[in-house]
Amino acid sequence: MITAFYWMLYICGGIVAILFVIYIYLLSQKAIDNAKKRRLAVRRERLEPLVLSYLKEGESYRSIYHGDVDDLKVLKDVMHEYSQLVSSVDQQGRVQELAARIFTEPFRKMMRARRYSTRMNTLFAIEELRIYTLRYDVQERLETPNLEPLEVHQLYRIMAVLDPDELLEMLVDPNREPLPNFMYRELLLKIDEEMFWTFVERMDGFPPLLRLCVIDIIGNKRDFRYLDTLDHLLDSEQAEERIRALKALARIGYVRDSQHLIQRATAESWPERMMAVKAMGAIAREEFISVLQNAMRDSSWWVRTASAQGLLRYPNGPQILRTIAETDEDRFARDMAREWLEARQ
Amino acid sequence: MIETLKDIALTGFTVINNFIFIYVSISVIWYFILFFVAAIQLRKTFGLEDKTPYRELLESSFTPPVSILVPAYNEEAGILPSVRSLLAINYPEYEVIVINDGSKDRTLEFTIEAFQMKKVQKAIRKSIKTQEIRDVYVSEVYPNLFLIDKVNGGKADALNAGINLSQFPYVCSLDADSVLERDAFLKVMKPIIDSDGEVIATGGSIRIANGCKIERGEVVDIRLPDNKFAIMQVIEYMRAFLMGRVGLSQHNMLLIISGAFGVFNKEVIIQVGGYLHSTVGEDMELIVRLHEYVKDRKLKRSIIYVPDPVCWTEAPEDTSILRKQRSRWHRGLIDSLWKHKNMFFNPRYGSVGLISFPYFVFVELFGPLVELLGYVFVIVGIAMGKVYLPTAMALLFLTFLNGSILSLGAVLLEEWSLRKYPRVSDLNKLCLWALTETFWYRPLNTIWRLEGFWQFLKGNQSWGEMTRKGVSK
Repeated sequence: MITAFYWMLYICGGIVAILFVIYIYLLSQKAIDNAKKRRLAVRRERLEPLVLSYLKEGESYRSIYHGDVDDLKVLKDVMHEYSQLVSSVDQQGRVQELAARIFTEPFRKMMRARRYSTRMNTLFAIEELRIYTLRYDVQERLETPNLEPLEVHQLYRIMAVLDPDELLEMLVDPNREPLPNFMYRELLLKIDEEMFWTFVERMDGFPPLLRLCVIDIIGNKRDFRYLDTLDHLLDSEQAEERIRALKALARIGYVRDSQHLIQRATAESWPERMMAVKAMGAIAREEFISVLQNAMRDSSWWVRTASAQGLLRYPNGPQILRTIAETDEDRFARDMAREWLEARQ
Repeated sequence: MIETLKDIALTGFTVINNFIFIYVSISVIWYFILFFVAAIQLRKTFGLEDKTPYRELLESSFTPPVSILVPAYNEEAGILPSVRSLLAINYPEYEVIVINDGSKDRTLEFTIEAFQMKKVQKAIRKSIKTQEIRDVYVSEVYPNLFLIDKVNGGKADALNAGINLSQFPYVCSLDADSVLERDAFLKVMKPIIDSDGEVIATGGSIRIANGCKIERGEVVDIRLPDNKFAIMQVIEYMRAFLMGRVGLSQHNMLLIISGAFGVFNKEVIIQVGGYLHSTVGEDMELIVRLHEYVKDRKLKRSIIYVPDPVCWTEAPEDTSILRKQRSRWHRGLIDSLWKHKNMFFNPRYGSVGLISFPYFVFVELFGPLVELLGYVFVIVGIAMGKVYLPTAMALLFLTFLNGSILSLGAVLLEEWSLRKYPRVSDLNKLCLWALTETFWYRPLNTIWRLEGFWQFLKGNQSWGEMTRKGVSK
């Protein structure tokens, strides 16, 4: 046991020693960090006016950046702030142009750095400052095997801002891993109107998940230009596509052909009926009232509650609900009408 | 005859001593493994920008909305600042549901008055059975703030009532006396969104708010408390969260998401039947049940811990309350494990059944028992004189390694990765206090947890009253 005692003594002593070294290291790190912060603040005072005058008067950018690491960090912060501050397209262009001149070379290296956080922060900056000179690097980087999902997502985000045409080709490429839903939506929201129109036109050839996301975004945009597309989608063979199209119509609040919508209210699945009822509530046309009244007796709680809610959006909705609450033969319809009338008060 | 008895006693002493030695050594090795896994993982994200990736979530209309459930039983001291902090979080769409679980104080009146709440008739879907709901209120100032007044039924029941009222696909349980960081929700929801729903539950970190300066529901200055019990809890929470959970979470082996700050997929919770009433460890029990549910149906779902978002909460500074809390936690732990004992070493439940379940049973559950024995043997060994001194000292060193040194490691790990405490003096203080752990805080905890053990055996299921001062000014 004496040996055990010595062993424990050594182990504890050793670990305490190691931790002590780590402690000293962290303490000095803290000091170095604080000193660095002060140093950067000084650099910033020198650099900020230079950047400003370049943006205003187009002075030579050569005086701004000489390859210093600290300067790079300060410039990144300053440019980031400006890119969020300036609003006119012209000024945005100038910020991006300067950013491309300064950052292209350093970022080309940093986006391939070994440290995960360096790579990611660089990718965030490339997107934020739209450094278009790096678009091929980004595309190439996407071909690297075994990247972390978050990094892949960020690379796609950059593609959406820098090269949406190429992005489209990548998304429809069957050899690539499909992206998660939220990524598709995010990318579709990032591209401009014109490009999105192209996406909608080509959506027949899209993978199913991407198609659904395009429909979601159409609803999100609330643009009448896409009404025909939605109308067409109401007859899709895929139930999920019909549901999403109904949801989009509900958000837009308009439909060309009322009858088309009414047909969907008798669909087999309750989610589809519910969405149809919701759309009718949002569009609020006279011809939907009787359909909604019928839906109050639906076997699904969700459809009933949606139709009660929908009826309340009509001027005479409360009156209709009151009649249902008092005289309807269906107990569930009466209950639902009563609950919503009470909730309204 | 006496000689033989003495021999037997001494052999017994040596055998038990060796057993304790091996047991503690294994648990130390296990903790070191967790420590290294956590260190690598935490360091990877160090220095990562934490605004840009979340801005899109904040602006997107597709970020799933969340219902925040705040069960409150006698929380008049802390409920208002807590709700205020929730109303100011950065998140696109959410509702806050305060559930007054039959409080005996003025929790209900305070809340109604402060937020101008009026009664509403709301159609509630009774997905989970709960105690009777007396009234539902909505705020006239904040349309996304609701209040349920219900008959007392315990924390689990209150949460279930909140789930029934909630309108959104994700629910978050939150303690009434805690303050959330502004971006905490975006950060804790991100893994759920990133995984397209494969992640069914996430939990953030809990830290101790004592000593911090909190104004209008926001932590403005992070400082250490002066009370020694509070400081020890600061260290303890660092150790529990950073060291314990990061490693387990990576391999989907997490058995606890703290009830004080966790987000869940509502549909799944309803499918497993909601929180369980008959346990004091309802937060842990739910996670164990979720694992069981997922594995039984062979689904690909995971439960994740996110270290960065922090929920600041008030720690008890007084031993009698701390003692009740610890014995209750231990009862909850035993209860959760006992209710799902079929998962123990069951290959059907994969790494949860083969690694994390046994870990919780051997290290967490029986730990205090062996530790107590260890403390006794150290004292006995020293008392028995020279021959046994080395044995006793070796054991003492090992206990020191298991307690103080690992805690010191946790403090350094925090400084290395998250750096929430800006002052150098705070770091020094934390390190020094961590080293004292083995000599007073840990033995106390061991005893309190053993009390929990004893209470479990006796069948005690009460929560024990908890008085609070309130964290916010």
